[in-house]
Amino acid sequence: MGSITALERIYDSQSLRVWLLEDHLVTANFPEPELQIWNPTAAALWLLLADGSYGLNELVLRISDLFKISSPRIDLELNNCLKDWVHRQWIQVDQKGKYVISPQFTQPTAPICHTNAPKESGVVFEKTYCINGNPFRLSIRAEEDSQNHPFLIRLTAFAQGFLVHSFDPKFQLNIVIGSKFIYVSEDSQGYRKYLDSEEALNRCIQYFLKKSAGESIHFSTLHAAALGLENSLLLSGVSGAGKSTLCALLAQKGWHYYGDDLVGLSVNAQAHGDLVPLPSGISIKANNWDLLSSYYPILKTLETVTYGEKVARYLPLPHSNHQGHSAMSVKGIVFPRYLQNIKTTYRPITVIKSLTELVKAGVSLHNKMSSDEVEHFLQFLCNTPRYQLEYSEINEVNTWLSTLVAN
Amino acid sequence: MNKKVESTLIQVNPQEEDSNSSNATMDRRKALAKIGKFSAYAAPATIAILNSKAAHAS
Repeated sequence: MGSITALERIYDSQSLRVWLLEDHLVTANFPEPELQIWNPTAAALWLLLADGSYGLNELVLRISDLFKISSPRIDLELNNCLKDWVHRQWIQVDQKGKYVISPQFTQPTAPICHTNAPKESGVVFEKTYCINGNPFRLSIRAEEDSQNHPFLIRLTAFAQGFLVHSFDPKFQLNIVIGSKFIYVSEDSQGYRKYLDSEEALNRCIQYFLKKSAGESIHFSTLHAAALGLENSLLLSGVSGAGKSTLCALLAQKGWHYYGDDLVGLSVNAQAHGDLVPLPSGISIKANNWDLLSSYYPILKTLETVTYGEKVARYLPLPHSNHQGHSAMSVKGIVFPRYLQNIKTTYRPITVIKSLTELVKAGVSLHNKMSSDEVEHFLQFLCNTPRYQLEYSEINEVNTWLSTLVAN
Repeated sequence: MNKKVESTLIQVNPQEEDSNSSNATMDRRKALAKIGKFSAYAAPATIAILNSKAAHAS
């Protein structure tokens, strides 16, 4: 299933690596990795510059000839792209006014400053959890006027899905909710201060993923649900695509549950992707409470969590479904979409399309990823079957996904 | 097995390096010719950016 697509590295330096992928240009710049996907015109532009230095007019002629276009705006459009690349310091203008490739290495960003957390706060939550066999304690303190802070309600509801552990763990995530800031300290390091509670929540989630990954040091974070039998599948897509509902329904059909909203991905040198599970409570939006209550009666009794414009309840799935598993190979990436009264259809999608969909849904690279690791990540996408799925009937989806995960 | 190790130790002479570099040029030209068949995107544009900042929980 799925075809293997060639990823061709065409440029490499300390601060920039460039590939051709399905006629698109993929660039990764460092030290903090940022991956950009450019269209085929940009790919042609780069290939021309890799062959020698060109002035704007020469490039306009070559590109117009290559793409058989005579847009009066082509010089403006090429100029904008070239200016952007000059700004990024990937290319520069030589003494003759010609563009040449010459990426500059920028220094790593300054280290994070730690601060002290307010002392006048009491413990409002403390539990020891175990994710993927790795235990840690979550300890939350809050100042007197912040003991019902929405961040506290959301984080504890999110963590409700994790397996509770009874032993004394070596690692601890300390959080202090102050009247203005939220303070987060990982494993006895100093506190980092957050004004935005979303940012603080993301920091906590990254910590949970780090614990789940254990020894694996490089991984990406995907906005996806993950399910499996022997191996695993990723269900990705934008919020509202129906990932969580599908996940909850499939878990009823015997699928093991590994994560609903954010999961990690660890990719090795053989471009083999392993899932880093994060089995949080599933966030079920208000419009699906009626449908899912017949399968999960507990849903009616759970606390309602409001964040942004969303109203949800975090449904913990049975722990027996997701404990003590070793690394699980990712056998496919599926972008599901629920549509009423349609026949289930699935179609393979290109790597560029899947990468674009992942970016739309929300994906981030580990901030210490090297250029080789970014390449392994791209290679993993090339080698892993990728599909768009439209469905209305859960049994049909169940049958098809079971076949996909078994291959 | 031994033969394989030996072959990796042979020093590349300058002539071979030249031929490697001209192969790279040929590859680039081939890629360029292939890309020329696609005219779906006239303007060079970024399609998506993926960075190291944390993804948002929905």
